[in-house]
Amino acid sequence: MRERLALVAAALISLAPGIAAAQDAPTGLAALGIKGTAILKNFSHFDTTHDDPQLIRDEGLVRLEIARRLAPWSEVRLVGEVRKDDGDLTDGVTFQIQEKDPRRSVLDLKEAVLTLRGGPVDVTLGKQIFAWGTADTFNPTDNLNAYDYLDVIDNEKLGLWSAAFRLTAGATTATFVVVPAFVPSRLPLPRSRWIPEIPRTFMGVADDRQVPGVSADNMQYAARVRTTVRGVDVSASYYDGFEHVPVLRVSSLAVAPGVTLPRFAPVFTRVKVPGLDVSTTYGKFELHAETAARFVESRGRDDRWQGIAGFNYTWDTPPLPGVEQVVFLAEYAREITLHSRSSSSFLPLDAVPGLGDLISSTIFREALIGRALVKLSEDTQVKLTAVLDLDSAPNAYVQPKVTHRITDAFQVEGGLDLFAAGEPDSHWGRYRRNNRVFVFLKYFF
Amino acid sequence: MTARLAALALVLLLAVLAGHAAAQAPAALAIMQKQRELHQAKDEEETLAVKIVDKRGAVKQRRLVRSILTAPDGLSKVLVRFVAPRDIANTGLLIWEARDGDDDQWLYLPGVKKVKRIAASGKKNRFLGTDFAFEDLRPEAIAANRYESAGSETLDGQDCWVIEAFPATARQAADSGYSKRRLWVRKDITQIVKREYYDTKGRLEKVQTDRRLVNVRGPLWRADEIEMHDVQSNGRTVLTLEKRALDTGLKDSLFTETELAREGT
Repeated sequence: MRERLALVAAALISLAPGIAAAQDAPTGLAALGIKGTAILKNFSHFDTTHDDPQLIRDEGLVRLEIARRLAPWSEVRLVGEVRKDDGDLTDGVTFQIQEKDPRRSVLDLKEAVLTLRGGPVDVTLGKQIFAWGTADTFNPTDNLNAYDYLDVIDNEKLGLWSAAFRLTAGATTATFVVVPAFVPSRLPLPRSRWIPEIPRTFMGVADDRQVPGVSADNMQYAARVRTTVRGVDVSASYYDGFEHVPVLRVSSLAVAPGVTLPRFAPVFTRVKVPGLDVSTTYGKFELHAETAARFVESRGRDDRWQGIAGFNYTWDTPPLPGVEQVVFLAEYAREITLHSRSSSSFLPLDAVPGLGDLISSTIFREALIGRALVKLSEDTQVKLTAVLDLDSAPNAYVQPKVTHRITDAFQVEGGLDLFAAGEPDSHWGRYRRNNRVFVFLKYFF
Repeated sequence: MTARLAALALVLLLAVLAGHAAAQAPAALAIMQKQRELHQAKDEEETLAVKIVDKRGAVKQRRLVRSILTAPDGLSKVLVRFVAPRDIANTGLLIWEARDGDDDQWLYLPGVKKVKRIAASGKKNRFLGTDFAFEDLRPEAIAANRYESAGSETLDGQDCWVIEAFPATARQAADSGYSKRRLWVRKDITQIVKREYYDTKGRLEKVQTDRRLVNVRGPLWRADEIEMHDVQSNGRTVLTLEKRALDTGLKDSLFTETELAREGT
């Protein structure tokens, strides 16, 4: 597999100089209005883990995108992907409205959106990706799409079959979204390096997860009203649907007379999530804040409040040799349990390492986030991101990354994922054996 | 007696000069107001080829679509969207002009599918590697500037007013990347054909030259080629018109966050 990926990489590099000509007179796929991106990813870990001896993982991905205007009031956009990796994250070819496969499909329809417009009303139908909220690192109001967490750090949103209705009047836009089929997040595979070790003395029975079926009762809804008043963007949102990461319902199973074992069933909590976000500018600062309350409707334990606030600051032409610009981001995230059903049969989110808590937004229970984007030139930039978890003993995730554009068509990214300090059972400390180097090659055609 | 007369003459001279300056200020403002009124379409959409040449002579090509809608109150909304090359395609900038120049600006980055409000200081940042700052892409903000006449000059055989524009307030000065702009306005068509941009230290930073002027209709003129030359870095960006459409009935709903974030055709 690695040899094949290397061959593809070599082919991409050899094609790269052709971009200038390709821009002047589109040929091949471009002439058909198809845009493509080919990405090769390499992750080289420093350590094996208890269940995962693989140190190096390669992944290849080709994404094709086509958009067509069907009429002055209608257009369609399709994004398809072909992907393969040597980490067993892809498996076969599947097409599901309710995506439940634990692995990725080799062939996938990432987005498929039909847009219809009429006056101030705009309707989008199909497999869509939404992005709500003003914060950079984590968006409590952005609840519609599930995530692919097969690689917890290199995660991505999953498209969602849905219908969205938008009404625009001046500076105000109201959006209403209906989701007929719930899609859960794709969690790390058992025995993956992202699943922490379960103590060998632990005994229990784990059931299959119980994904809500497609029915009228399980429909999900979301609404958002956004407006701009005197230089301030304000949005109020509401989500009535399922959390995408399961919680564990505990029961007991009698395996012999007088002998019972705990039994765990991953289930999905139905929540109602009112939210609010604001964004404005003050001098050289862009200021933003976002908050949401997550009220359990069924199959859950804790009502929670989440908030995040921060700023971006752009430092132009700093007196540093070779530096054109530095953009700083700082954010503080906080989560508070509003109400806990102590007699609930659902485990607290952080009770079992590896499921739910580690990849859910509770990682931002109390966290400081900092980012410095250093632009050395239009083609080269260095980004340093750090997330410091203050909830337990301080522990952190740090990612330095360099991006360089070799040509307009060919880019290379490289960096480190570092899980620094902290106890082995802390949020980031649990991944301490996942420190790694990553290199991405991207070719646009 | 001679000294008295000399002092009186000096006072009179100063008074005349002051009066002359005071008389020039509204004239410069009137010219700027007139040029904006004459050359403002109700709505406009242009496809532009962008050629960026850096100081080493390396050339990069971009393509963008710029849409402008002017409301009855004279304030404009501008949507700029890159369509090529692929790595920045669909990146967009939305500007809602404010009368005091304190515009609302949002940037859409398709990689994260997010619309982000841009801080005031961001207006002086270069737009995606071009020699144009964000603030160069907005319509001339008459109320946000103080205009002074700097006489007349002949430019490429055309008689021009020369007008100097300064940020009107301390806030505008802090938000802008420029301490001063010198504008050459052709007298026959009241159209700006050249702009010099001076940095915050008063040094000449960039020169914008509008070429291939065409009479689109009535008193409305447009440049089919615009060059921005950064004299400090010796970089150049040339915008060349590929397509233009005026007064086609662009809707206000095109200039929203929803449309800014729309990817596709």
